[in-house]
Amino acid sequence: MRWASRLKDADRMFLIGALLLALIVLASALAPILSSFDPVRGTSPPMRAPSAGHLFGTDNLGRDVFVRAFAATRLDMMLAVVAVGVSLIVGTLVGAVMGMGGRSKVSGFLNLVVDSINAFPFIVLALGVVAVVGPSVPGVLSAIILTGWARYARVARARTAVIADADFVNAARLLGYGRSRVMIRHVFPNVYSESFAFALSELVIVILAIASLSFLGAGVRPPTPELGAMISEGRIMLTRAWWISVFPGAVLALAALSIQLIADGYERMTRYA
Amino acid sequence: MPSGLSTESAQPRGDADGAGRPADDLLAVSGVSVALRRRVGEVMVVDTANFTIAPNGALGVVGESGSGKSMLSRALIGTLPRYGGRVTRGSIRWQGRELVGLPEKEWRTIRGTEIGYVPQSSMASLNPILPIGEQLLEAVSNGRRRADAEHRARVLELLELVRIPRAKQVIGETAGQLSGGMRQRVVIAAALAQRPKLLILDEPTTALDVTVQAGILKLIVELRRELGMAVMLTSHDLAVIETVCDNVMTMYAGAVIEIGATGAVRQQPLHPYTKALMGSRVDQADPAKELLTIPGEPPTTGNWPTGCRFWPRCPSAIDACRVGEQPAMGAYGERWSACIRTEEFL
Amino acid sequence: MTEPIITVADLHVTFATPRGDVPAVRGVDLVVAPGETVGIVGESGSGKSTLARAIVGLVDAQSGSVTVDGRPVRPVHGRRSRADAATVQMIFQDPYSSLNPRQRPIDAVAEAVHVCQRLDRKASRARAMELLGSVGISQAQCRMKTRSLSGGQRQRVSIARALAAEPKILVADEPTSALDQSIAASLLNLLRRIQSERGIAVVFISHDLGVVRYLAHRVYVMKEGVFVEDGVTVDVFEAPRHEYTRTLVSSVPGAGTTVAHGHAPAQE
Ligand SMILES: Nc1ncnc2c1ncn2[C@@H]1O[C@H](COP(=O)(O)OP(=O)(O)O)[C@@H](O)[C@H]1O
Ligand SMILES: Nc1ncnc2c1ncn2[C@@H]1O[C@H](COP(=O)(O)OP(=O)(O)O)[C@@H](O)[C@H]1O
Ligand SMILES: [Mg+2]
Ligand SMILES: [Mg+2]
Repeated sequence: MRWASRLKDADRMFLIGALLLALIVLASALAPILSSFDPVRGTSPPMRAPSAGHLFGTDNLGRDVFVRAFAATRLDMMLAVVAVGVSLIVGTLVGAVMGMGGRSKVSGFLNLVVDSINAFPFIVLALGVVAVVGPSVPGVLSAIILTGWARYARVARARTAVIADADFVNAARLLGYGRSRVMIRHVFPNVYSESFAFALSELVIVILAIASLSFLGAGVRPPTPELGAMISEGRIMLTRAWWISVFPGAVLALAALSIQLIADGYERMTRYA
Repeated sequence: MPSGLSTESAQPRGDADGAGRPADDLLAVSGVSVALRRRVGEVMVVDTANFTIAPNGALGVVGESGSGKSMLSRALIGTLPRYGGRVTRGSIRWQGRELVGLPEKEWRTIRGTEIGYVPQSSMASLNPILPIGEQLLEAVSNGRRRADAEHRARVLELLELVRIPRAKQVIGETAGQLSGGMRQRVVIAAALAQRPKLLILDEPTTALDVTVQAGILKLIVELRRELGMAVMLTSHDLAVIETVCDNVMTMYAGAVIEIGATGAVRQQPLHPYTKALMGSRVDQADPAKELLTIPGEPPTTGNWPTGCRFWPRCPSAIDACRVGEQPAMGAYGERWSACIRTEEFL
Repeated sequence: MTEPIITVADLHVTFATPRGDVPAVRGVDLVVAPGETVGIVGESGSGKSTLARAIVGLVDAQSGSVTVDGRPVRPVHGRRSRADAATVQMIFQDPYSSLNPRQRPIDAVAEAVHVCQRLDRKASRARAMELLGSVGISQAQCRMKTRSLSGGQRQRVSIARALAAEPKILVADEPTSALDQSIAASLLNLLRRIQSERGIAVVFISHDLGVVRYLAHRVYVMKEGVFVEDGVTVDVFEAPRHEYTRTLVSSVPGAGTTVAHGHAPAQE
């Protein structure tokens, strides 16, 4: 209820973002189920411009672009949520250990790993991982997670170092609380809230990264509907059938925008709380 | 009538009374309310303030944090928070000239020029890399063409005025090289650059050690005497105000609740809040006895009670205190109090 | 004299910083008797907080010793026993960082009771309620979010949390410096009451001479990491022997150097 009252005077941008996202989620959940068109097998005449029957037109294989675009959105969002969720949990735990760890050998090693991963351009590293695992759904997921957790680790490490020095943590130590109690009850919850805000803002980057990998042919492969892959496929037909890549592009942009608005709004709300 | 005083009952003398008599007060504030915009809407932070400052007068404003001291000071020099801070009513007369509603362009002829201002924690806001001399030069030239010899000489003069040793060297140093006390002196020097007739200092010694504080307070007293200027100083510490000011004005929850000569207020505070504040002073306390305390906490802005703001914590509150508006101040001899029972306490 | 409950002998604490070593405490000797209130005054940066932290074990000494209740103080980073917690507790200066923002007052104090007194959940909460009540936190405030408490209320909660360990010594590092005068006054009364009712020894640190004069039986004056003077509070403040103490005492507003006039100065 406290949340609801905060929401009431939360800025309009957050609400717009939430509404937009709800629409996109609804469409991607319902479109593939309700529509009679199959997202993978083409059953309609190819390369038809948008019409009442095919809102976004059809592609060169006679598939409905609307159904494909939202099936793709569903896949991309699920991939992003899983990838961000796993990176968040792993990264924050590792970062918290590092932040508390002082100068032990283990934390020295972890520091090196985290800083090395973060030093590489993300896309280069991700392409490298895909090259090993292979362009596929598991490939994309492992690429994002293996490169992503280190960013959360860095955020959590910095935050933990601050929290671990806060007076309430010193008070906990003075009261004789065990290390794990201090960590779990006092340090971690305060680190986590910041990491969560960071994860929300990362979600956009990750969705775009998944699409970019597929666009580059290093992600989800056709015929599986994926936004980046669809944009890439439609590229060569752009002058004759613009709708094949423009509509998936627009859906991708709207999805990214809505999440960005939500992330910004969440950050503002927790900041002023 | 001593300076520093005026109420609604006693017509603010800043208003030239019909016949066009020039106001003899430097600053006359009457019925001034200040509001800030919050997410919940506009909230009042200063409520119907009335007071005057005479030429060469020294008014101390005491109140606990959040009582509106800074917002009142900022209203006087037209630097309320740009987004949503405004004077909602009342009049501020500077030597007879109305300042409320003054266009920003004309404010420049007053702010810094006629009225000097040392904002709260301003010593922390000195530019850390620009040499002190350059920062003072800005204040001295006041936007005009700068850097001629006359201006440079004035910078040196200002540093000497605020008793900075090795003034010539300090010109080339940065704020980081100076101690807190020296930084505060530099900020005061900047405020004096245009020879203001009134210097407003907002908590000028709050973050300083007592020995440094003593030096700054001494400086303020001496500057006032040497330059013949008026001073308005806010502090949460009555002892600081007693060191510098002739008159003291107490604020509580946005309202001015008592004004009087410092010595008189110290001896016999009229308003129960001022009295309680005096009683809770640890520097005056007998270690053998408990400190007098005020039950509860001050109301937060926007959550002021009806009636007198202080009644929920007041030992002398009666039913009449709990209803209506915050009582206006009444005159009792040369003193003013906003307590409706003042007569009984006298 | 009874056996001191705190003995600090020739304590040195140095911080290693990127810009070289900072000696914060440079050879300090201090004794505190059981049930006594000892004040430490000094300007900011004189090493008061560092000394306080060394007494409770939050910073390590370079050399010298801190003996608390007959045992060398143990660094908190190791495992502290219940006996350690029941010896010394600390109240911090900043009310806004001394409570976990994710805990309500009742939870924070109940946790301390649970750990220190080995009581079960229900008994811990009941005891926590008592403690919070005894420091003047109402039942409703006990269940409020920490973020909606004022600075004074937070300090009271911190005191209740420290008392949960039933310590013999309370080290208070400028507990009222961030508070308004009327709020600070009631906190000082509270500390005095706790001190006399429970017979706790209090090490009270402040840059405010008035507060220390009011509260402390004996006082140490600190400057640049060393004590320049110590003694019974009235003696030190009425007849300071060291030059620095004299400056300090005479700098207190209203203490002789008052330059105010009580009336407008003559126009020149
Ligand atoms: N820059 C600001 N923006 C919004 N609100 C402010 C700002 N500064 C102060 N306030 C609010 O205005 C009220 C009065 O504050 P202030 O004048 O600073 O009090 P004081 O100086 O007596 O401590 C308080 O409720 C405070 O929270
Ligand atoms: N963690 C730290 N790292 C480095 N220097 C420190 C640290 N804590 C304190 N100091 C330094 O030690 C000196 C004493 O500080 P402190 O004990 O906080 O003084 P006080 O409490 O009297 O203001 C200061 O010069 C301060 O800068
Ligand atoms: Mg202020
Ligand atoms: Mg300190």
